[in-house]
Amino acid sequence: MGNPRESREPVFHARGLKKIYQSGGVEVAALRGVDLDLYEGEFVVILGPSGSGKSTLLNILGGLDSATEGEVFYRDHNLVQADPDELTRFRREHVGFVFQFYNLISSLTAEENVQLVTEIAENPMDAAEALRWVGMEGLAARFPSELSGGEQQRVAIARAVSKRPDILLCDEPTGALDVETGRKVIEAILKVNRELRTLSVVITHNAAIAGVADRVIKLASGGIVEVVRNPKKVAVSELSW
Amino acid sequence: MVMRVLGRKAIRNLISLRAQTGATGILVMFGVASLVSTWSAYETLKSARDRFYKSHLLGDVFSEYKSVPLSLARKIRSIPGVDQTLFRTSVQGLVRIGDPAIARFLSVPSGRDPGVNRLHLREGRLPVLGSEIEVALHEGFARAYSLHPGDPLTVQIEGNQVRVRIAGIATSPEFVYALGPGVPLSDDRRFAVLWMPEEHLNRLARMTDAFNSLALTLRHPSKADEVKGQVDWITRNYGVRAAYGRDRLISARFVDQEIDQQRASAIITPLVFLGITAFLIHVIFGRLLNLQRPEIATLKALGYSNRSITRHYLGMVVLMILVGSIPGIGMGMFFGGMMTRSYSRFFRFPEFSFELDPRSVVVGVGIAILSGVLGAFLSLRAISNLEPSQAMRAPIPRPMRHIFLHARAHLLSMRSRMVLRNLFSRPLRLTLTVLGISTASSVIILALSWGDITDFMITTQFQRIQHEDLDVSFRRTVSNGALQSLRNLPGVLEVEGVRRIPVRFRIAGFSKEAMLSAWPDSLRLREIVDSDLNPEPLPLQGVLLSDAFRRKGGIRAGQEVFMDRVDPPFQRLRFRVAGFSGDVIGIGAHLRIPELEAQLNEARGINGALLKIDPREKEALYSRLKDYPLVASITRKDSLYYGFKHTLAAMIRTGTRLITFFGLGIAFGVVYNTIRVSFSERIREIASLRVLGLAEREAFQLLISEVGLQLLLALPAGCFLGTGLVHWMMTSVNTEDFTFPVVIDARSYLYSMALVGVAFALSVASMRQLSKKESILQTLKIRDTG
Ligand SMILES: Nc1ncnc2c1ncn2[C@@H]1O[C@H](COP(=O)(O)OP(=O)(O)O)[C@@H](O)[C@H]1O
Ligand SMILES: [Mg+2]
Repeated sequence: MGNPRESREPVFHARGLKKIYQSGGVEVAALRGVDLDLYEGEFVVILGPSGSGKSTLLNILGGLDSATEGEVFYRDHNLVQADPDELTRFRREHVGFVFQFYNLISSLTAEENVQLVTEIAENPMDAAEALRWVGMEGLAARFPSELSGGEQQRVAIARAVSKRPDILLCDEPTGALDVETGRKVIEAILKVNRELRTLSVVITHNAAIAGVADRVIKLASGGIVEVVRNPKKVAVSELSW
Repeated sequence: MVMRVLGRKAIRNLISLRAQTGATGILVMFGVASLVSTWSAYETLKSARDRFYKSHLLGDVFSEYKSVPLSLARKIRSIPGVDQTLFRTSVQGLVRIGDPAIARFLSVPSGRDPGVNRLHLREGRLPVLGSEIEVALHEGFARAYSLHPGDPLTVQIEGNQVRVRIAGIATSPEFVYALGPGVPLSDDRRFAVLWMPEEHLNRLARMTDAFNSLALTLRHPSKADEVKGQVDWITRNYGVRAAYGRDRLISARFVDQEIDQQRASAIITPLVFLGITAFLIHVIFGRLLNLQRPEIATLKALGYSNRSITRHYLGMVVLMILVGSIPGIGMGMFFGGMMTRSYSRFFRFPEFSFELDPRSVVVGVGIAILSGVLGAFLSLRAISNLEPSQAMRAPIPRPMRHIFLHARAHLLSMRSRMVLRNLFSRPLRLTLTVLGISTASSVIILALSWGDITDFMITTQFQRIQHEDLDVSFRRTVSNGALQSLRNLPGVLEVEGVRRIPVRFRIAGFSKEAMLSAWPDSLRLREIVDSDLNPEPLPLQGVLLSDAFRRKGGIRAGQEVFMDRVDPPFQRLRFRVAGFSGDVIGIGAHLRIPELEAQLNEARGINGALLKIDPREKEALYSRLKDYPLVASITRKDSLYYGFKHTLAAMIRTGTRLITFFGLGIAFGVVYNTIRVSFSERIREIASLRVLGLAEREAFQLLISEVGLQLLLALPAGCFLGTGLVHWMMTSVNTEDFTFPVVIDARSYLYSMALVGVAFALSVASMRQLSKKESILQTLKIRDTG
């Protein structure tokens, strides 16, 4: 892979990554030997059919799951050998997650959901500022049940970025949303990536989103089958879904 | 086929909810156990009583005299409605064994059962007339001293010492509970009943062609009043006391009181449990159904009717209840056996072993199922209202109330806000949970307060009120000078005379027989206290009435009360109520001797004395006094104290332990379920928080603070509720002989809180294990199944 960035230090460095699930006595290999380097400021899209191991890969990178075999480094932290406390600290300090289902806390308002993170982060931005980032400043006092799906997802993004994470990991963030709403969500993620230089990894089924990425990694049956570099990114508004 | 699949689902759901099924099962188990045990114990007691009274012909009407010629017996026999009759001799004496015991001697026909109040022999045979004087001895006394047929005894009747031989050990329906004179509780070591062939007893008691005690059975109970009137009329020239019915027979009254109390607890205890069970099932099911909305919608979309879905869930409830019911029946039998055994130490029935009443099982399980179905009902109704399309979507989160949004909210961290809003956005559930936990601690307080109350009564009676060592009653009224001969006895330190008159109080619509006690002005050996236990001096004029009269009869100071003397000359006395006294044991009235004498139209003087004695001379003095011709009976403070400390305390201990145990069962059931339900409800939030970077411990703390806050609210509420419960219980069990004060030791409050705290800690610990095992990813992946 002739990658011009190879000279730089990667943020993530994974070699021979394997994940095997024991399911009812049967072994299921979710990942079967993945080698991967991800760099600062990149916008990476992971594509692949359902069950190909996308989520498994993302969760291992985010410290939510552990690999069965192989090595993963976040800068000089070895994530494979880390204990639960170290992983918790890693998530708290460096990672922002966005899931398909927004996972907001229903008893806290939009702003409070963001404050939940700013309370424990080291160098957070102001909660109001984070909401402004995603265009949600007007709805800060609403509870999740009073927001639409897209609005909830944007709050989730604000919550993820408010701690100024080094990495933003998004697992099918638009999966439950309609086209127009999904576009707003992707715009918010792109804006974070552009302006905060946050390494962003986005899983999607939608090949169209790939147009806005720096790199597109294609997975199938637990292995990387193709890596495509986009020399010229498309603006979100030009995307056809 | 259709139901078979749903049936499998029901069982899988129950298994995945096993922790809650278990905790609910524990409650159901306790509920069923408490009903089965209390009800069966009640039925056992009742049927033992009824069988014994019937098979051994307990009299319906009784009367006691000084002496009535036997010639009147024929007249009494021919009163219409009278069935069997017994005319006998009944005298009080002593049994000289170790420390002499008071004895009641009753005549029986030689070798034959009396027609009424028949004996039930435990060992040996009935006494027969012969050269030796044979007796049948009451079982309680025989057990207390390990006496058996063939053993000799020395007894004293009317001043004569005689040797008798035990022919048999027996119990009688008349003495199921053998209570000696002048004591409030039975003490088998101090009171004996002996049956002796009438020829012997009549000779010893100098009773010729006369009787002084009668008992008769009736053909029909409704005739009782008529027959009593006729008996009184026939014996009017010998009448000392009026004929009375079974309800006034001391043993029968104690047994009946106990049966009444047993029935009350057979109603109350299970209600508390099953009410809480209903609530818990409501909570658990509400949650389960909420989580299963998509499944329910799918079933509906597949064409299942509301009815079959409801039936499916009700089937689950019934299974859940049955899981607890079956061990509950076993536990109920165990506890019932325990209660029965503790009764059999006081009540002497021919056969008295725990019998499981099948109705209690049917009713217990039935009520449990009903309470479960009722609890699930509200949640289940929501099923019918559910549109399949709407239910397929994830449940809409409950709209949050805008609480803690503005006012000082900035002082609270986000996590505190979560906890508080979660709690207060469901006020009904919060209230019910707090109520559930506080019920548990209040039940424990109730159990423990029994001990506090008896301790308090004992301390008050023996340290505050009674300063004498011996309370002696005389055979007749004597002048104060008679005290001098008592004072001269070796070992006597102090003597004070008293005049006691049994009277029937007639107060505001109710009438009660009790003692009117007149004390000297210089009274030192008794302290009269008011209802707050402050010293209350005897009033110059008028009487102090037991506080119980004020509470029951609503009488006020300044009013006039009437009392009819129940012995000759049957005079009516009239006094102004000057105040109230806080009598603990026995109720009555107190006044100065001159106040009483001003109204009496008979000899002045005293008929009893209080003695303070030198403890070293106690036994010698006691035996000496018993032989004193003037002395009718002696009550020893130490044996009274023993009776309280041991008999009453033992009686209460079993109950206390059982109820405490039940309280713990409730506490555990409610606390565990609350934590478990909260855990399941918050599990996604906890996972989300952990994704955000909270450690498992921190996320778990949120859950614990939520439940902990409810516990904090529940503990004071429980103390409050417990106090109310004790008040209510005490007013409903105040018997004729005791006035129960409401006393709850601070330790009991603390102890109840500690026990609930233990239930909390155990639940937290077991939940922590679950929380540690919980995988963030699995949790976030699973959206809609329980
Ligand atoms: N907890 C698990 N137990 C067993 N198999 C699992 C588990 N999680 C994921 N898998 C399997 O691993 C494979 C990859 O899953 P995943 O990474 O979620 O795929 P994707 O996100 O690409 O759809 C799938 O075949 C899936 O069935
Ligand atoms: Mg996935």
